[in-house]
Amino acid sequence: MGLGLGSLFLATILVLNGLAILNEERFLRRIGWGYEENLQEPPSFKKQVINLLYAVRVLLRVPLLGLNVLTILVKLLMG
Amino acid sequence: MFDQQPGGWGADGNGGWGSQPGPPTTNGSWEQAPHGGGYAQPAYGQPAYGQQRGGGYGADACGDAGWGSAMPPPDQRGAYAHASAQPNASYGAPPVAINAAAMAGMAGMAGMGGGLGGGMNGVAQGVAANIAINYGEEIAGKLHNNINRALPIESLRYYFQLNNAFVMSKLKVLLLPFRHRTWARAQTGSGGFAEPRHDINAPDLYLPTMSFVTYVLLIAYHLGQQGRFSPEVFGLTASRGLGVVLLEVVLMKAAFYFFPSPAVSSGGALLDLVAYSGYKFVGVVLSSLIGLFAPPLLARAVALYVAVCTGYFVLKALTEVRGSTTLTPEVMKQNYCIFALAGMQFVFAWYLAPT
Repeated sequence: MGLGLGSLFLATILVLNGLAILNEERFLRRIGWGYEENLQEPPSFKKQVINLLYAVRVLLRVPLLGLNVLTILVKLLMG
Repeated sequence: MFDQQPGGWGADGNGGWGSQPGPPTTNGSWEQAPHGGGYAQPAYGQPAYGQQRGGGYGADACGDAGWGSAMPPPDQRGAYAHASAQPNASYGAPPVAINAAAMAGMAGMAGMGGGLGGGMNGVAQGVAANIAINYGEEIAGKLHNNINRALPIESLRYYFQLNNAFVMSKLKVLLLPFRHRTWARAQTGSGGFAEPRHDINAPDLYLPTMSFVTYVLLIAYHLGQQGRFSPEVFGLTASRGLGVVLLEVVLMKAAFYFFPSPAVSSGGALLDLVAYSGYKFVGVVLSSLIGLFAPPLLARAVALYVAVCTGYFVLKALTEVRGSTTLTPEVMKQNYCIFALAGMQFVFAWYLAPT
């Protein structure tokens, strides 16, 4: 049952972790994907990706902490 | 305590009611009620009438019902049924705004109290009933607020404003989408979209929910025929179906997010997209139903046709969500995304089909 709600939840958590872990100073700014330097750009695919990464970093950091801990605990207890 | 009581309950022929006749004027208007005649007060609704009868029979049993003594004189009944604040002088209870639900609770509680004991016992139970009703109302109010906060009830209401004609013509559009010509949603005068019952192109959530439930039951039936049914099938199938809808809605939102165009930035209301995605269950249900009776080849042909229909529907609906603009490169990218989403209907139909 590949696309059930449970596996979708796990996949979402993993993808969000992947988006949130990209570091602005160490990584994104060096390849020209920093948030501030692209503020003046017209809307485009790249701009939207940068916006999304920034939003995930800012908004989802704390919720992701909780969700990760919860998921790890559930997985540890129930496999 | 009884000087406010109507005497019409003398029809029950017992106890405190008959011995405390009310004023003749109220008597006349009230006496009609147990005989099923028309009401003197038009505001006095039918449910309340049933409860009054229940209270009256409680009084019949013990002679002194808690509920009965809480009744206001008949000339105030109109206001009572209108859920206005009504000071309960007999019990000294605080004024309470009583709606129809509270009336039901009150009648039930007080009828019970009247049946159990008489005299002061009934009064005490009536007070307890009043307190319980107030408390219950408070909790119900809080619950209502919380539900409103968690679920967009008000915006959900739009999606269920439909009638039989809409359901029939929507099914026709879903199963014969190539014959449908205009896909633009109708606007109301105030700028919003017209409700589904006035507009065949408006998305609704009735058909998706009903076909989703039918889909879950059909899959369970399919598995039962093969002797593979277990109760978990319901949960797993529902989870799969919801997962598909969730994934598709996220993909639709993402398509309009990553390829912004001047025409549309947000990609339409979330529930619109849920509806467009949920319509696929109509086709899946049809093809699984046919798969129950027909030979496999015919069933596959129907499944293919239905997937094409759903894909075409999604294509048209999402084009409508995007809005019509001149073909800039950004709009072309959005078109590719919409085509991809329409093509994914084949994948989803294959994934959701009974195995």
